[in-house]
Amino acid sequence: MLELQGVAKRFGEAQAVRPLSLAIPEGGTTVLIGPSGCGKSTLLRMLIGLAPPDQGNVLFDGAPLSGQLTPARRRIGYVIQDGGLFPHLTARENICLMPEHLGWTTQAQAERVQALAALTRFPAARLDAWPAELSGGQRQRVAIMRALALDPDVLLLDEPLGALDPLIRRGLQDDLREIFRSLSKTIVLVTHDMHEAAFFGDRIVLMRDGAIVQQGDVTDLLEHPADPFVTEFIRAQRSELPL
Amino acid sequence: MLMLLAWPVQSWAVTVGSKAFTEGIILGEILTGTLRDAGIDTAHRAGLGGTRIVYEALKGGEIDAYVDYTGTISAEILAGSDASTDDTMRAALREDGIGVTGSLGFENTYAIAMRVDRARALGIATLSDLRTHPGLKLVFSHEFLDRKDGWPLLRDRYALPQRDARGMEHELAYRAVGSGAIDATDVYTTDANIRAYDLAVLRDDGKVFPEYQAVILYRLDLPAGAIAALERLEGRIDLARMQAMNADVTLHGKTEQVVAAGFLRDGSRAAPDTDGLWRRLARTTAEHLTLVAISLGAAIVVAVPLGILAFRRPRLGQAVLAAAGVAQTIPSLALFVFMIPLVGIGGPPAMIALFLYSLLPIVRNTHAGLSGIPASLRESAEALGLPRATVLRRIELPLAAASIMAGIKTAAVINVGTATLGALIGAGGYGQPILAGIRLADTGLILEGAVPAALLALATQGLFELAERRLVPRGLRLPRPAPGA
Repeated sequence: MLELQGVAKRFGEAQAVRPLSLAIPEGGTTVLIGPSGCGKSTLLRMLIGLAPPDQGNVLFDGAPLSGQLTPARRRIGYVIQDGGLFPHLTARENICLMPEHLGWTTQAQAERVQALAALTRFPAARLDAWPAELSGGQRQRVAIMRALALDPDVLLLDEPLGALDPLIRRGLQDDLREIFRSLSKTIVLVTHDMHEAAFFGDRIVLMRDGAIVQQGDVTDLLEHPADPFVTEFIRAQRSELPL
Repeated sequence: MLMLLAWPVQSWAVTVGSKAFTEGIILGEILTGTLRDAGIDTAHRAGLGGTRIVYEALKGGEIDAYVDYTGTISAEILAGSDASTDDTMRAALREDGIGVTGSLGFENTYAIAMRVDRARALGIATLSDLRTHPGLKLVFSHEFLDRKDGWPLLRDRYALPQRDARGMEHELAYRAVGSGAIDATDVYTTDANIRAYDLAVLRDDGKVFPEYQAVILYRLDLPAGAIAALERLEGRIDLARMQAMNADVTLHGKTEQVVAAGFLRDGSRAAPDTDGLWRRLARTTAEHLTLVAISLGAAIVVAVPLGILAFRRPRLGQAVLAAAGVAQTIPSLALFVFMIPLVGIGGPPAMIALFLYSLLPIVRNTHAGLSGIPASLRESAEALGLPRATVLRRIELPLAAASIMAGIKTAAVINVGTATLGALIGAGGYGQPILAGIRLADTGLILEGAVPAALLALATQGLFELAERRLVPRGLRLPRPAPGA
């Protein structure tokens, strides 16, 4: 579905991503994890063309992403940490930006919003509220609805629970996994939290200093660490692991 | 800009102009009445500013005749060419397509005046006496301070030691010297204020000031009948008559029109301007609003796209912001004078100047508003797959609306104030009663312009605050939520 071939990215002096390759298989959830500054967010931004690589290729459906940016973006949903909702548009208007731009009927838009609200367990009565009137968890649900509006094949999420209180976080976490399962889309999620990675990830990609240290499921990482860093990183967060 | 071209141009057979001082305006009225008496349809564009402005207007055909003084013509207008005799002056003017009549019968030369008691206490009677008092506070009208036959000539010829002479509006300078705030100022010999403020005219013992005979400058392409009518004014006004007419206006509160009508006596068609206060107010308000609306409207149409361009192309943006900043620093009067050869006098040059002054706040705030949008929002919009133009219209401009509106509001308030200066070049508006009021030392007249101008500025501010409420999306006016709440 998505493939990175020998991509690298530098921001001034800092080498954010060293030359690396990564294939993201269709369906299932891939989690990019690592300490802050390891390049996981940059990798995610490469997948939707917000951070074009200095070298190498990003392939979407087997063809270079750069040559099909606009159509590809309509098949990829993107959610960031604080939701990135437009404060001057209501929840509904945020969700319907693209459907409206593509000329959907009002009826079709309303139906889509209704279905998404049910899916994300967002109270329908709050659909016409402004982002500033919503709670953090509600804003994040709206951001997910906006990303799913066009029923994309891929959903990219950059620390979607990062800015939330622990309690709200737990509730949204469960809902989010439900959503991922019911949609059976290709999901790529960035987090720095091992608990979250284990909770969501069919496959975990552990990164450090712009390079991939190991990829595999959580058992692989625990039982066959490729590097002492893997064990160290997992152990540091172990107390929170639900294993 | 197209609207500027539609500025109403009234067609008169002859247009008389005048400089912005009492005597100039009285003489302008007399010229106008004389031409009307000769059956020629004539308009008077009164109080157009200094020599440069009025002469450029004459050369450009904006006006057809006005009164100037021979000393001014040789030293200011024909500086650089030989105008030492009547014949050479006449020939030099002819090259500009300008003719000149003989003297109207009086000379209005420059002189320096002090309060009688102060001059007596210091023992000053002549200009060369000034040399012995280097500490005197000298304040001159801006024109006298700068012109070659004014203060620079006087200082050089008499080797005067005073180095810190300052400029001031002339009528204010009279009041300052009358109240003792300053020691001396320049006066005209026909000036009624000399007696009113009890001033002593210092004798020009070095014969430095050239002759200043009042003459009429006119365009040579005027109909022969008009020129003949103007020439009939030669020798008709003597010094005492001119002083008396000046005194009637500045001291006795008559209008220039009434005084001129008195001179022209019966049968005159120089009907005095009898518009009532409300009539005048309606006219100046309409003129002022037109200046502001057109210049501000054009500025919004140009500056918002410029601000967007500056934001999109940062390097070009720096150049755009710098250029708008430079336009802001040009003094308004200088800008008006540059504009006269290009677009004449009246509304258009004032509107262009106001347009230029309004650009900077709008361009800068548009740029700042767009630059201030958080990167996360910009990227969210980009990641959605919306085209650039739609992102601008649906996301960026609404988010920058508050900043853009604040810029327009600033530009509008500045514009309302600056538009009062338009009166200097005949654009009318609230500046007209203010200038006339300063000239005539008539506080009521000053207030007639200043009060509505201030009210208009307040109303503009209020109006734009209302518009801001309508245009800035409600979602942006809610208090920001705490993260994670």
